Amino acid sequence: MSLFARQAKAQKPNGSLDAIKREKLAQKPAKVGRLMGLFLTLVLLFLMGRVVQLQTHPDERVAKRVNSQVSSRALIGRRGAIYDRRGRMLASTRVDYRVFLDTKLAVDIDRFAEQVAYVAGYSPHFVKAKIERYKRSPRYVVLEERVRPERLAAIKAAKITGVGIEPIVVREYPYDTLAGELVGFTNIDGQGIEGAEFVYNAQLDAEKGKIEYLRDASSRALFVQSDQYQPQQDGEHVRLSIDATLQHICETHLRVAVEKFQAAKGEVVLMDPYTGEVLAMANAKRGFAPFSPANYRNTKPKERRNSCVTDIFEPGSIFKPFVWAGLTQMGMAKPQDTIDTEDGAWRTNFRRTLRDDYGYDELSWEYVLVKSSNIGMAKISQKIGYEDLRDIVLDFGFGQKTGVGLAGEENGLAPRPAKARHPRQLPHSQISIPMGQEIAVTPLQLVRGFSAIANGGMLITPTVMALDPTAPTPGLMRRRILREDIAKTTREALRKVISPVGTGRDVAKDNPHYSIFGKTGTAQLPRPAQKATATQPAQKAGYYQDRYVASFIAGAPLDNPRLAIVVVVHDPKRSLGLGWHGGQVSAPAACQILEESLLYLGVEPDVKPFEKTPSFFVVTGDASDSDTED
Amino acid sequence: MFPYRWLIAILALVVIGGLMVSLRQQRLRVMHESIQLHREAGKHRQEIWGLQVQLSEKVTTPQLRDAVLDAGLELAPLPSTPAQNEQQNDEASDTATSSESDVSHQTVARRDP
Repeated sequence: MSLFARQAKAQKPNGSLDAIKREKLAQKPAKVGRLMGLFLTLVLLFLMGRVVQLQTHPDERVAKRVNSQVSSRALIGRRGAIYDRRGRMLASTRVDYRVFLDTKLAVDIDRFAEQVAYVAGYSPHFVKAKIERYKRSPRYVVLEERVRPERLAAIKAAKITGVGIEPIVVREYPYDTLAGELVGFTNIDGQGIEGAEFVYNAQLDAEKGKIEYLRDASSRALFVQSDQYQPQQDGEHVRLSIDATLQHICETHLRVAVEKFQAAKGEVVLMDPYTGEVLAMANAKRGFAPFSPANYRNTKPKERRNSCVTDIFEPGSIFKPFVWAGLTQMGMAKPQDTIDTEDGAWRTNFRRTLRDDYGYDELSWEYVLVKSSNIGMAKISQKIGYEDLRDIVLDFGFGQKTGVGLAGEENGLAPRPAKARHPRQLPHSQISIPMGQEIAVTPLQLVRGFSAIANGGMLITPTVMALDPTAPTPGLMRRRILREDIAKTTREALRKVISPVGTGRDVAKDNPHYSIFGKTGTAQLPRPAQKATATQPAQKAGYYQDRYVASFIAGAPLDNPRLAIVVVVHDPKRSLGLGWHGGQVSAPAACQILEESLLYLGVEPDVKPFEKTPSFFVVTGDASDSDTED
Repeated sequence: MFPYRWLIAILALVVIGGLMVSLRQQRLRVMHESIQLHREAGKHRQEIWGLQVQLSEKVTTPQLRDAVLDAGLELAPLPSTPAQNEQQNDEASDTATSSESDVSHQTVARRDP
């Protein structure tokens, strides 16, 4: 209404004041409503602004309170498993549970201890003793690691305040002691410490994940934001080249040999001579139980060392095939050439006397190896220079790491260059080295060198990782060191060692199915220099007269060798009267291992068909087997 | 007229707010369920690890061998070719004797007749 209209209305004589009042009263609710609307709008705007502020820039106290409702949890990643070449699990990870007590939450400790003991099936004294022991950290009293499932269920069901359960990652070894030294073990943090666990740790190791979630007042997980979720990364699995069955065969026979001859220790390495894959690697130590990785805390380092790569020894006569093959390749002698072996005793021009166990007037070069004649080997090796002889030794990979990649591998001792030695020592070395003296090797180096003889002359790099059988070239690094015909000639000569005329005659009758070729070795144990005592005079370093390393190196079958093996038995007790030569101590074990292993691998017998039922469970051929068979 | 318009606006806001709260609640529930499922999956995963280890412990090579022997199964050489295999199976079923194959290439477990 305009101002003029209002004035006109006001000038009206009849009841104009009342009308104005009524009109004013009628307009009042509209004003109130408008004010209310304005007020509500302001309140809503304020609330919205506050919400925005809380969401974007909350007050410090508020932010702290909100964050206290966010929990974070580590997501357990699984360390990769270790399998054998046929996919049998040798090591794996699983989750177990640990029970701990928070004694601060207990009102009456004695009653609490009794309650826990009653529910979980412990002795009350045990629980009290634990609480007493962890007096300094009463909020985390570890009651038991790796709790049994039924006990865990009982504890969970009881819901006792102050009793906590937390998951722990544990490493399991389903085959227990089998290949324990090779598989190795992990520490409490899941890091590989020894063996394959250590060597392939980077591959096996898992990465933990993390998850952050909002929880309610009762600590129940509400939800997780996608940007606060970091998934765990499981470790990769590793497939070793060893075969659990072959490993079992090797360990069984080695243990029998070590116990029978009361030897200090023994080693076996079984290898595919074409690919260099180590199929079995066994250790046995007298006085010690087989090493179980799960029980590593209760063992000493020397109990669990893998002597096949970490310990060196003077090989003795099993070294002769390498020098024999090298000398034959250099044309120093042919297998049929006759050598004057001086009836078993020969005095050199530098006044050193060499002796053979059995004296012969003369022997063919082939029979020098078959009969293991020191004199025959020495005479032919004198035809070449010291450096040439050293080259033969180095060509077979001695004096250097094999490249297998296992921790603690030894180089061994190879002859030093001539210029680094006194000229007077060289003639001595030249007749000592062919007999396997003045050098030191590991069992793995021996079987690697022997593989070159078995596979036609190629030096291969051994590996404990299973190789891809479909790869065009089997094996890792390969280098020709022998002509194929020389390797074959050497194998044929070595076959005669396992015959009634050879040094392995004792086992000739025990391996009727496969044509095994090999070489025995009996080396005296070196004796360190000794100071004079009250009872004994001082002694120079030398050799024990009645302590030996009995060894046997072999391969089979003759025409197409599938396996190469070395068995080394240290210090067999001669006084038992059971024998101490390589042919008596190590050869039976090696031949039995070869027989059983070849049968297991499905290799056709090349001497005589099987007449008895195999005594172990078998087997399907794997791709790598067929690969090497061709 | 004026208060009604305000009333309608306020009511509309309330309805929209209610709907938004309900949607948020649903979202929270779904996310909560997802974390529960996540936990379940993790739990099952860990159970599988345990079962794998248990399985491996029960089927080690020596245990399998013992089980085969206990079950009275005879281990016999398997011929290298399918033809020889068939021939050997025929012989085994005819004569019901243990196989003594002269050509062994692989070995299998066969039930003792």
